Amino acid sequence: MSGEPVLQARGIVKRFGHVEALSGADLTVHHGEVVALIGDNGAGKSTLIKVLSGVHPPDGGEIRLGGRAVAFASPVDARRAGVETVYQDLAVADDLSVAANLYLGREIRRRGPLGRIGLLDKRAMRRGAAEALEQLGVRIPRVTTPISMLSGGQRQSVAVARAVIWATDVVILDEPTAALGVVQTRRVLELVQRVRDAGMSVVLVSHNMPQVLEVADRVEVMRLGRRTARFTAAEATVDDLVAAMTGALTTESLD
Amino acid sequence: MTTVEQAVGWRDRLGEWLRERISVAVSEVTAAAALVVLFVALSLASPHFLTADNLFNIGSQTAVIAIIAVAQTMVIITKGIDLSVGSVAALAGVVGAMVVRDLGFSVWEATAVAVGVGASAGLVNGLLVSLARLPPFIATLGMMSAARGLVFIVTGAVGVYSLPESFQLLGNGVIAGIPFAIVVTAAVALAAGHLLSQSRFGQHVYAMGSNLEAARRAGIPVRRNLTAVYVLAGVLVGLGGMIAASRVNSGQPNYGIGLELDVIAAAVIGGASLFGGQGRIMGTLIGAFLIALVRNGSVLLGINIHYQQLIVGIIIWAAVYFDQFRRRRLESRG
Amino acid sequence: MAISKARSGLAVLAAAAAMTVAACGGVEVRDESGDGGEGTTDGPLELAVVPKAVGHEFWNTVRAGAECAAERAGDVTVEWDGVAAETEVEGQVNLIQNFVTRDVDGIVYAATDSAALAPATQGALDAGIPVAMIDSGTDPQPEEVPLYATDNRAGAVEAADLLAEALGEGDHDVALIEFQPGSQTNTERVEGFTEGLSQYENLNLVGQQPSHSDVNEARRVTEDILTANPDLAGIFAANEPSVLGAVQAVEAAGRAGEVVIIGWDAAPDEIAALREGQISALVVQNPFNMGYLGVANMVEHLREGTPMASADTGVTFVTPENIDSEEVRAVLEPSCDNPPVDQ
Repeated sequence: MSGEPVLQARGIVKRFGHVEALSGADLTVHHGEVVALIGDNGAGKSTLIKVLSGVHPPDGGEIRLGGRAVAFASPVDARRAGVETVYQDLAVADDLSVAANLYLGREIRRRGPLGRIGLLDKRAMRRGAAEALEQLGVRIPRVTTPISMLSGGQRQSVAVARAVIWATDVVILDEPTAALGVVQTRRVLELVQRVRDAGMSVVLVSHNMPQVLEVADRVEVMRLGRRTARFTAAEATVDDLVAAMTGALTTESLD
Repeated sequence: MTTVEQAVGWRDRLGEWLRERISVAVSEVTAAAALVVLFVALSLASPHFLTADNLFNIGSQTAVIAIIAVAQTMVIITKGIDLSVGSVAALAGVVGAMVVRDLGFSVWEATAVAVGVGASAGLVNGLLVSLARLPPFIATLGMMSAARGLVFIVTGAVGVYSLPESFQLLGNGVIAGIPFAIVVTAAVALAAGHLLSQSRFGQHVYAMGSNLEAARRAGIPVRRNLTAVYVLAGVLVGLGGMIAASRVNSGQPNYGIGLELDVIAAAVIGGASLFGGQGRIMGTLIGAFLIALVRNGSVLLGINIHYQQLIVGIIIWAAVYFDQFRRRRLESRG
Repeated sequence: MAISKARSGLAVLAAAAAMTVAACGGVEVRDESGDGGEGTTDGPLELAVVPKAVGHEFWNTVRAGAECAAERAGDVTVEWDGVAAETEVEGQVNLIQNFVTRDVDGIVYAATDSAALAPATQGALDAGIPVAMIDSGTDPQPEEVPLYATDNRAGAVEAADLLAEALGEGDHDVALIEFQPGSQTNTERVEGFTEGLSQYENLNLVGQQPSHSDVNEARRVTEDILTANPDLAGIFAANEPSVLGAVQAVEAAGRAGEVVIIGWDAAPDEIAALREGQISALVVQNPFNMGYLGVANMVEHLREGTPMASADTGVTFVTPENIDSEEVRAVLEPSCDNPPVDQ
């Protein structure tokens, strides 16, 4: 990978009271790559992701997006800047249709005065949703189906699709396959690869080492609130990753 | 990987589409079926049921409950509940009556005042829920008591009487042969139904009730919207209170005690879920009229009041049980 | 009830505590050491007067009577408090208990439910607080507790007579709008009316529905009864909201003047409807007298030890013909200057 990273976090510090969850964490994401972010429980992965997606403001360090320093005051800020995140809890509205979820908060309004008073162009949203899902290869019965009637994998796919549709630069996925069966996991991973092929960058948080090595281009390892190792997926083994996670192996200079 | 479910025949797809449509409106369909059955049964059982006068009577009698049930439905969709509707309706009604009697307001001005009273109570409810983060049950329980207290304070616990004939317009007036209260109810239902199903605001209301966190992360201004829902509900409750007062040509301090339970029942029978995210205006109207038909039919057939209450209770159980049963079955196949 | 025993024990404690306070603070305390707690009290009296519910003309008149008696007796404070609806039986039980806890000098009240309030009355007596009932008593009613009330049954029998008289010869369908099924007063009026009706073979009771003391509800059931019985000729509505709703319904059906309405109570709109001919006659109680007798006798009992004795407070039958007579006006517009009481 060459050129300016799409997303770069440097020396991020985040404290909760007396606990320092991140003590100078780094993360680098280049254009069109899948970066796996791994680490033991409590290593700080989730906190780092929440900082990057605007949920937690950092206490120190800097975030650069396409080379420009940015500060996200809220998740909405991060999304406006082109960083979309899918959290473990998915954050989809079960009672709404697939199309309504894909457009949640970004609804298409009708043209003219009816749109100005807030009326929706549901047909346009249905069409847009169907097209986007087709491009991404997400299989669901219909875009008018309420989320509550979908299977776990389908819901996950919709959540990922929503992030992908709106992201311009980076999609962050927090444990996207944790609750899924084998077939469903495969579908989500295929979706991740398709997103990468479309030129987007993906940050994938996962516990599943074989999965990480299969899908990711690079792997960054966190331990005790900072980055301790970096690998190219093709050259690393599961043993390397485990060693890095437990602190037996470091590739970064820890000053 | 293919993007279309090629292996599925058109028959299956039609079946699936139907199943999905029905599951979305399952409680409405059920309640509507019950309504039709009851309607036909009453038409056969009583020669007086299927007359224009009686049907208009039922419509006028149900207008207030229907309008306030619409308000309740909006609140229930956000996973809230409004226990204060009865007290606030009484407050709006007596204030509306008092400004006519004491200040010489016209009935229209009085209606505006009553709606304003309802909206103000709704605003307080909304701020308590959205800003002070009180559970809706508690916020509106407080309002239920506070508004009733205000009713007694402003009226001195005496009914507001001696109103001019014109005060009866909203409740007893007729427009093009149709009772005015029915016209107002239809207009309210149409507007509210459209707002919920066709507008961005409505979409957000469902999203908030379904998953508040998801709505917040989607950038929806949840506090503002939540407040707006309670204000809107207050507007309708104020209007309903005014119609109720108009129907009996007086401001009744004791009006609306227990009304909240009637309107919650109407909403729930019509498919609204107290867990939020579900509920439609059409269903609520059907629920309100189902209850109204039970009551009307009981009087026409001379059935004792105690049985009416028993029947309404059983309908509530049946509606919600059947609804959950159908939903579970449909979802397990989904 | 088991509570009453515990209560009397508590009362002794409370009395002892009160004495101690009195010794230090100079507060006047009723002497409860005498046999049966009988004794007299000098100085200011604080009486709790509790209606079935606040919010109706009727109870406001009771209040006026109570305050009139208090004013005439001198140095008596009336604590007026009540629940919002007659159906809040539990709330009234609590209210009475709170007044017992507050240790008022006497309690004058109307029971929302005859059985449910019996323990509350007993609790007050056990705490040494005398009780007088107005309008509606308890069951059982202790011997020392008097009842100042309308003879509802007799009034309702008379209402049936008035209805029969107004309808005249021939067969007629009539309806009854009752108010609170299960309440003592309601039961007495319903029984009295049906008893009275049984004297007239030409009157046929075709509908009987409750209004729950809600005007809207009364209007609704009356409309439905009119729909079901197009030949309905007469209605007896058994309390104020029931009457107002029935009048509205009859008028909305375009049958004002055709359907004879015999009502009960005398709210301003009822009087107006009587004058306009929509109501044929009203059975009017004397709520002023209830409040008046309740408080006056309680004060006399507290100050002079006179036992309180029950009394019928009487009803007046108001018709368009007698409405402007002196006697009826004293009942309809009671004031402390010319109270409708036997003095």
